[in-house]
Amino acid sequence: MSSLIKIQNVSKIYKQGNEIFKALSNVSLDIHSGEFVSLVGTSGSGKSTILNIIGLLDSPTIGEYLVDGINVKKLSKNKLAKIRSNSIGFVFQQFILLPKYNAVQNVCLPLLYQGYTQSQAQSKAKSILDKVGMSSKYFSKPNELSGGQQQRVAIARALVASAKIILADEPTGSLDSKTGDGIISLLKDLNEEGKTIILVTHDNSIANNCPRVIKLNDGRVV
Amino acid sequence: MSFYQILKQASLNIFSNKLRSFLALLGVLIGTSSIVVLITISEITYIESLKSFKEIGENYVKMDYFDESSEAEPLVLDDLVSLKKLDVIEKFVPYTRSHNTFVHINRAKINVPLSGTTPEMKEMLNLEMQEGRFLNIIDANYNSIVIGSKVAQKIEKEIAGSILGTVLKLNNQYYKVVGVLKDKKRNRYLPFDINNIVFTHANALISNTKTSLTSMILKISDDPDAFEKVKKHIVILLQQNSSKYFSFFYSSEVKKNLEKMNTMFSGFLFAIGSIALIVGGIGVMNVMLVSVSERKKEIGLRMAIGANQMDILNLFIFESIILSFIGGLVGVIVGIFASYFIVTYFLKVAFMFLLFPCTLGFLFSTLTGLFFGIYPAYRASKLNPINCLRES
Repeated sequence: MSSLIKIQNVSKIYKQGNEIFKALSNVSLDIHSGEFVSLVGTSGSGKSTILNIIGLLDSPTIGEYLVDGINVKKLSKNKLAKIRSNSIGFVFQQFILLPKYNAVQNVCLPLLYQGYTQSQAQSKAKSILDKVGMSSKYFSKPNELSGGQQQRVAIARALVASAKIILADEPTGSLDSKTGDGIISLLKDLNEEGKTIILVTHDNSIANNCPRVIKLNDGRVV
Repeated sequence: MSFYQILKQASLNIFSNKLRSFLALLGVLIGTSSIVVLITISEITYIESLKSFKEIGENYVKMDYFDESSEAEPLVLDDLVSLKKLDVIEKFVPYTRSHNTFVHINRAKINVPLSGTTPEMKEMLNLEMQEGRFLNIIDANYNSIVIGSKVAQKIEKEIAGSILGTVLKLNNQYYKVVGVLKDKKRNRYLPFDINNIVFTHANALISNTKTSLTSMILKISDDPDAFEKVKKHIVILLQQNSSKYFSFFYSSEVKKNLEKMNTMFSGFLFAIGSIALIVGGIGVMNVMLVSVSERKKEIGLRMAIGANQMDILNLFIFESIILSFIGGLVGVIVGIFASYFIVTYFLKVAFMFLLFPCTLGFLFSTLTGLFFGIYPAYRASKLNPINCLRES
């Protein structure tokens, strides 16, 4: 079986003035379709950098990255945006919902960038919101929702465009442990349906529950 | 993302930041309305002056001359006979500059600007009679006067009756009123205020007071050299009578200058209005830049969920276009009302709605929005999504 995500000898080097900072050094990684992977490590270990590279928000300084067999090195920014739009869903620690949009509007957004009409997007958004247990909050604005509810809307937004890969950067970091457990079990359900989940966390109890744990330290896979 | 969606999302943001949006579009509003007001007023003023021209017509020449030597013989009608032979002159009317004289009735002292002229004046200025008749050839030997409507009113108020046929004492001479002129709108290109003049025959006035003919109105032919020919002839003719200074007013030439001036003036006013609008545009740009730096997280998110650079660019450009579109629209309406007010109450002429200044103002405001929106939108589209998402 070919890997969905293939990272080969990737290094990421940042320059800040005269200082050179190596965020990743020679990382190789394969993640297959349908895996549930957690990325753990201390802050500055490079786990966010690798998530950004996987999410096509950043590109490697050295090395290759193939997503679904496509080498992304030479792709234009628009092409990368297209792959992000079609295959990758992001879930953030701070949820990042647009404050003036209600739940349905927030979830619609990725579909509108794919060219769906308003009505198509809305019915799809509603069915996804039903799926994450937010059927009663279609028209609530983010400030009317609890943290856990906001994260569910954010997950719905990551799912709505039928992404194969869900990248979750500390999705429980701003939630209490009970609400956080709810979110993790939602992600697990999605994984069982076939989504590939990559979860960044520094919570060992969450990481230990994952089938595969990748530990990073100082820009290297341990 | 469809055009409609971009429009919708851009407007949503504008309307959720009401105060800021209002302040941003205020500048555009003021700029647009100043363009509308300035150009409307300049056009209306121009149209009004053209109306005055239409009344006097093309090829109208007014000539005045001044003779400083006191012993000079007064210029009389006979001196001008040779003008009739000149084929470029279609008609001409000589007259004496109006001279303030006073009539004493009861205790009132009424000013009567008296001018000596010939019967042709009626046709030349398209004068109409309210009562009685205008001067005729016979009046050369009689002291007859024709009176402007305002002067007539003032005198009638004192004598409490019709003025026609009465005899007035002017400069120790008695003059009989033979006619009253119909009211006529003031025209600054005419030598007199028709409502405030008293005409008598030039011959009678000259023999009574030894005044001299000082001026004439001529209607000349369409020949492009006509004016120069007439001017030359008159100068030669009158210099025999030792007259020194001449002044000519030639309507076709003045009209041409007026047209030139109007073009220049409109351009100048448009430039002033544009400065106001550009300042407004800078206001829009400022607000958009603040908006971009405030919404970095939103921009990062939109990029992460599939927006490409063009989508981000469009979103912000549309916001500034909508801002200046609304500013322009309201500005045009405010401009129309403001120019109506100014034209009606300050210039006191008839207001007319002119489409051109409105179109110009509106078009220019939207273009300003587009122009000043490009840079902030470009900056937004070039932002790095990782840095944006990290913003707290």
